[in-house]
Order: sequence, then structure tokens, then C-alpha cells
Amino acid sequence: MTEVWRAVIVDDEPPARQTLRLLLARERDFTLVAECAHGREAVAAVTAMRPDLLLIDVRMPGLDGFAVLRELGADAVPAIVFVTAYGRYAAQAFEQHAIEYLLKPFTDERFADVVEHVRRRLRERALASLGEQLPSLLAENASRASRRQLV
Amino acid sequence: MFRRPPVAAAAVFWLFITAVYALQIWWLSHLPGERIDLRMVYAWQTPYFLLWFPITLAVWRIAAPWIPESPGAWAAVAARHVPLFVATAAAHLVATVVCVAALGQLRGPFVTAVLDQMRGRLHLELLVYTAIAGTGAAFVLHERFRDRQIAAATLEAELAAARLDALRRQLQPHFLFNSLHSIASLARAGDTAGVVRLIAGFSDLLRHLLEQGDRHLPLDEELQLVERYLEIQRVRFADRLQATIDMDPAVARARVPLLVVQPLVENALRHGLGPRVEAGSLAVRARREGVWTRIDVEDTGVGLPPGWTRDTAEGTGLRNLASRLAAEFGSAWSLDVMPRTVGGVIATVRIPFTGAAPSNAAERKRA
Repeated sequence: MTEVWRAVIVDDEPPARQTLRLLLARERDFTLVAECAHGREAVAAVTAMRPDLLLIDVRMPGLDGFAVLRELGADAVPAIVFVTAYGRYAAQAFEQHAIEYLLKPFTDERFADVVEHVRRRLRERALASLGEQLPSLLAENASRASRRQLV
Repeated sequence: MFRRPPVAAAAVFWLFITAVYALQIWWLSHLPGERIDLRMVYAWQTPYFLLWFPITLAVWRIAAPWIPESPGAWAAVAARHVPLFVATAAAHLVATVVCVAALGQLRGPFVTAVLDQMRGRLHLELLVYTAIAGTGAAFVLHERFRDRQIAAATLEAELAAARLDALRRQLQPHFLFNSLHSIASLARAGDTAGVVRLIAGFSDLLRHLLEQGDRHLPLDEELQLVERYLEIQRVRFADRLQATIDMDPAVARARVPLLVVQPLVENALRHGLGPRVEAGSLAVRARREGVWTRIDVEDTGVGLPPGWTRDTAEGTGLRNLASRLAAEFGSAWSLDVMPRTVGGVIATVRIPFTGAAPSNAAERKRA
């Protein structure tokens, strides 16, 4: 699979962003398309870039992580990972369709596991949407074939 | 000053003395050959002793404020007792003769009877008066001692609460885990010197809060602690936080209560700069202002909520600091938290300037 997934990271603390940037750079099939320091920036970036993966902090000045997701709507991003210092937000995060929950500080291995989980989920989604598109693709092919016959 | 005079105890004491003396007279009157007019003796002795009771209360009340705060001023107190003794002895003897006259046992002129009493009983008057003044002083000193103990215990408890409060804030996930995460990020970036510096600073911070040491420290040591905290925060927030500490060397060794600046700095970051998306700055300034040590903590954050007052504020940090200052300095302190005209907040503490304090660090080194 040669697909490259597009990621956005959101954290108000520069060292935390640096960590995510560094670790994500080790994953060849992910590319970082935006880095945001607060919620407002995140809403704008996601709306503009339509990323596949959003790595987002919960506690931020202004708009917090949950508020960002509420503003974007449930299906704006296929894969959401919360990155936070608090364990107590986990339940709320999964309600908001997060697929992973990274507790700071985390190890490189834990981050790699999370990315692997994200990768599987994104592939499943891609296959599923391919499955949905299959009938129409076949139909298109069929009509193209019949057109060819006509010609 | 003398809030709980033992009125009942004094009454019981004088009734008891009256009864004992009456019993003695009665016993004496039964000895062979004695011809004592019991009615007359009782008419003299009973008022004499019972009248001491109101005089005891009066002397206690009048003399209580005279007890000096510091030892060495007792000669002045004794001098004040002389006229009070003369007045009470005269009043006591005159009142006794008045009672005897009322009981119909006065033989001879009134003035002669009073003078007779003085001739016969002045030494007794002096003895009893001294005992009354002495017990009064003992009660006052005991009360004062207890008040001091309570104040000291209160101060100790409040400092413990402040320590616990600071410790809790520093062990909150938001600070603790984000700080550790920042340290991990420095490690990942290969900045080993930075990692070591932050771990050492963080340890200093926690050690200081965990130690059950002295309640006071020199101002420069308190500010070093604040600097450790700011160092961590500067790494976490990088270009979003400009923080400076500016201390006049004249107050470097001033003796200050532990955690007098730290809560103000934490408040400025948490409530002032924390909720702000834009970069902000924090300035700590310490200087001498006449008899005061003055410390300002100024931030360019979101400012105070409308209707905010120190006493109704949500957090306990400021209220705890205020009550610790009150317990320590009485009314000689101030803690003002004011909005700045250009946005943000300035918190100002003034406490009495006291010269060089022994260094805790030096004590630790010796230990």
C-alpha cells in the first residue's frame, strides 16, 4: 500500500508539538500537514486540510479539544487521537469517537502502537468506502463497456 | 485582655475564708475563761471578708491592662498599684464600718472606728491586696500564653495547608505530567543538559514543599524557588511566556514567610496567562519601600473576572496567604490584587522589612 495519510497535531505546548512531530516523522506513511497551538487554529486547519488523523490535546486556552470536535462535527476527521495529561477524560474522548487516548508522558513504543492502530482503522475505512463505491464503479465500467460496444 | 475572670471561684474563695474565720471565732469562744461577744465579732468579721470579693473583681479588672508585654517593666506596674492599693484599702475599711453600723454593732464615732481599723489591719490589707494583684497578673499571663499558643498553632496549621496546597497544585496532572512530558521532549531532542536542569529544578521545588523546615527564609531563596518553577513553565510554553524576576539586592536577605511569592506567581500563570492564546509576560519585582519589603507580581493575562474579590475568590491560595500574613504580622501587612489599566493583574504584598535571615541552604549544608 503506497497511500500517505495526512495528519494534523494540536497542542498549546511547543515541546509537546515537537514530540508529536518527531515521532510522526518516523512513520513513513504519515505526513504532517498542519501544526496548531490552540483550538481555533485547529478548527481552521482541519476545515482547510481535511486530514485523515487528528492528534489533539484536551486542555488548551480558548477552545479545548472537545469543543474543537463539537465545532467540526462527528465525521470531520476519520481518526482522532487525544493526547492529554489527564486520565479522566478518556470516557468522554471515546464518546467523541476517538480511536485512541495517549497519556502524557508516553514512550516511543506506545506512540508506535497507537499509530499502528490508526493505520489499521484508516485502511479498514478505505476498504469499506471502496466497498460502498464498488457497485457504482462496476456499473460505470459496464456502461463504459456497452458504450464501447456501441462504438 | 482579661476575658474570663474566674468570678465564681473568687466568690467561693471569700465565702470559704469567711466561714473558716467564723468557725475559728466560735471555737475560740468555747475555750474556758473566754468571754467573746459572738454577735459583735461576726458583725465585724463577716463584712470585712465578704467585701473583699467585689474588691477582688475590681482590682483584677483595673490592673489587667497594666501587665507589660515584655519583661522588665514591672517597676512601672508596681508604681501604678500604689494609688490603687490606697484607694481600695480605704474603700474596703470604710465599707466595712458602714456595714457594721448598719448591723447596729458600731460603738463610738464612725471616723474613730475607721481609724482603728487602719491601725489594726493595714498590714493585712496590704497582704490581701498583693495576693489579689498577683493572682490577677497570673490569670492575665496565663491567658496571654494560651492565646500565643493558639496563634502559633494556627500559623503552623496554615503553613502546612499552604504547603499541601502548593504540593497539590504541583502534583496536578496538568502541571506534573505536562512538565514530565516536556522533559521527555527535551530528551528526545537530545538536550541532555536541559533534561538534567529541569529534573533538578523540579526536585528542588518538591523537596522544598515536602520539607518540614523553618517557616521563614531569605527572600532570594524564595525567589530561587519561583525561578525553578518558571524555568519549567518557560520550557513548556516557550515563546508564549516571557517571565522575569527583578530583585533589589537590598531585600535579598530579608526574612520572609515561606511561600509568600510562589502562590502569586502560580495564580498569575494559571488564571492570568493560562487561558490566553496569545503570548504574555510575567514580572516579579522585589524592593524595599521604607519599612516595608514590597513584592509585585504582574501579568498581562486575561485579568480579573467582574466582581472578583480576594475573599470570595474560588481558589484557596490567596485566602491562605492573607490569613498566614495576618497571623504572623497582625495588621502590619497588605496584599492587594488589582487590575492593571492596560490589562492583566498586579498583585502586591507588603510585609515589614526585617534584616538578614539565616540561610536555609547553609543550614542544610551543615546538616
